Amino acid sequence: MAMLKLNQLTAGQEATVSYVMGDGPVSQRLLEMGMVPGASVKVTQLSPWGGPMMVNLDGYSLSLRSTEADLITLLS
Amino acid sequence: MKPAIAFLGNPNTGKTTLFNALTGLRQQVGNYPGVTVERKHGQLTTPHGVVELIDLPGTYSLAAQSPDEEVVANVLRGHQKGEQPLSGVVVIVDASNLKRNLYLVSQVLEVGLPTIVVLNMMDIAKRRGVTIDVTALEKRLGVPVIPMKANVGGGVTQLNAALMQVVAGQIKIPKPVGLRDPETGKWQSGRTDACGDHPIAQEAVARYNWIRGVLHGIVFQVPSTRSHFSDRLDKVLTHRVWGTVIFVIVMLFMFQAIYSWAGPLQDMIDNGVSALGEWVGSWMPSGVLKDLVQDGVIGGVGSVLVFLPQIVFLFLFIAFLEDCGYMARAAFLMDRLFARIGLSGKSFIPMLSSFACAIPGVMATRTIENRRDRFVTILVSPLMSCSARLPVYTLLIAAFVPSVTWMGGLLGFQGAMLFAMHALGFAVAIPIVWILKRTVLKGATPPFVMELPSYKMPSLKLVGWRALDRAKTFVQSAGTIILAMSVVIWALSYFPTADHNYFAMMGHAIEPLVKPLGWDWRIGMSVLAAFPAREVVIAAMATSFNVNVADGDDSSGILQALQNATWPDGAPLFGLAVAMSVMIFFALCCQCGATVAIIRRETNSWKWAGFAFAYMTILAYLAAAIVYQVMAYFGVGI
Repeated sequence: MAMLKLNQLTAGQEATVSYVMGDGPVSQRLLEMGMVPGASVKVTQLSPWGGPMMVNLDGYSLSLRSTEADLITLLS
Repeated sequence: MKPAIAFLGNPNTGKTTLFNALTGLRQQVGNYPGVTVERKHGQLTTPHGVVELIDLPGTYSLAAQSPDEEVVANVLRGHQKGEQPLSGVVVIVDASNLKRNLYLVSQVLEVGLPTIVVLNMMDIAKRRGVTIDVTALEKRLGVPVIPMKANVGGGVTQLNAALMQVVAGQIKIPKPVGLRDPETGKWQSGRTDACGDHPIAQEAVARYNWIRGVLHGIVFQVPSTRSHFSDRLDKVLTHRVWGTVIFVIVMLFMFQAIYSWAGPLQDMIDNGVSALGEWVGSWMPSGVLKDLVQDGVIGGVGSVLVFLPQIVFLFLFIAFLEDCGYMARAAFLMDRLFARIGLSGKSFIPMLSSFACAIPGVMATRTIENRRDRFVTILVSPLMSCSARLPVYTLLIAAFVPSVTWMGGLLGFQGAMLFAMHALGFAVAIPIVWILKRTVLKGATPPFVMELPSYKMPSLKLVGWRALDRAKTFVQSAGTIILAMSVVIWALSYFPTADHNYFAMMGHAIEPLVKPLGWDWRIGMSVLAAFPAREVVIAAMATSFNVNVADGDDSSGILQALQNATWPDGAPLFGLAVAMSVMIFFALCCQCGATVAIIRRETNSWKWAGFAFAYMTILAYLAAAIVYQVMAYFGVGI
């Protein structure tokens, strides 16, 4: 089964976080900011050509790049 | 020793507004020894004596990733050099985003200090349909919880009372949250699957589980079908096309407004300075001392004070954009560009602040985690056109750029030129960053995980306070370094005789060096005199072109003198080409002793400070020469 990642969603789509991969500083910051299993996340704005995306994470706005969203696995 | 209480919280929780409300203007700002983290102290007078309040930098977690977070963690644990052990701690949380804000609270509760939680932005939470049972939350956290509205409307009395309880030792140390197994030391995340097996993930999961338990049944969210005002605004303001268009319009409007709104105030200051000069002239006996006071002191400082209104307006705009939440959106829009040259949108905020002044801009880089990325941002921040360059731009634009306006006076050629001068530094910074990131400060592109705070009405008090604070700094520097330089210039042009003075002699000596830029010795000396501080250039020009501001000539006297100035053969000295060459030199050159000093302090090395100074000076000279020579070749603006 292919895993669904946050950077595969399009604007307006919602999902539930499964887990964050890796144990580097970026993963740590994502976890601290609330990207934990069970958190609900909705893509609110996408910018083309590799620009950052804006998501609503449990009620607040967070920006992250596609490479960072690639660390976040979703429940499908 | 006075008892000390620290204020901490996530960024954008209104912590500083609250801190200012409690301490007023009695604050001391400095640095922690050995690190470049701001140490901000204020004092609160209570019936039980004076309490020392500490405003710690905004932080998401005590697991330190940046120098700021490391200091916060050390201060709380009483390990920070230059800080006494704390008597208590106040955590400010955003009620509209309680879940994530409680992450830091869960860490603070483990430190073992008497703790108060301020539940700020209750009004915003209410508007978002969130209701919180404060009494129940207080019981579950085991510490006092004080609800408060954004921009500090009420609740301050309650907080004051709670602070006094801390001082009196009436607040108990909270019970530890107890998220680790006391025997194994493992995080009690309730998960054993391999996916979240890292200790980092285990800790985050354990803390968020605790938060879910704390909030269960006491926080209610009314589900709404209408999206929030902030989200709807973001649909437009962060849109890839409209967002960018609006961003450019906001910037253009800002510069045109500075140009047209400050005028009347400037005239008032101008008249005041002239009147002061005349009054002094009316009773002082003629002689060297009178000339020194009238021309050197009043004329020199007065010609700079005239620009105070513009500087205050610029700071007001930047503080406003920062406080209403737009600055983070600008960083979001800019990230794509910054990622391409090897930085992140986070570097944009220090750069935009540098448009007011490079000193707060350089200090704002402290939120950038990676040292190399921080240094790159520091090195290009002084390229942004700060408010000290405004006097040169406004003077030369008023004198040599035609005042044509469009759209009923909303946009004008002069405003556009002012905008272009500000855009120049930013445009030049892009290739410089690209080169630095591939040579001396090589490194991978940093991440861009950033919170975008909800839009809010800015606290006019905070915005006004910040602009006032900057104005104070400007006047102080006008009073010291600018005054000193004005007196030096006056002395050089007064001795040995007014006709054969040292100022002119030095000027003639350097003229060959500045000739390629289209300048004569008078412009050359004015620019040279402005190397310690840019603002000096106006006083230096007044001296070079024989204008006596304090003798009753107002600053339009300088303007007319420049327009009428000629070469020895009678050809006009200034045209659009020479004006542009001077402005471009100012835009790109590092003519600021204070900036060099702050770069040395923030990078902890003279090498980087020297590097910034050298590359900017060479760049300024070459760019000014090229623009002048090209315009001269095509006969434009000569």
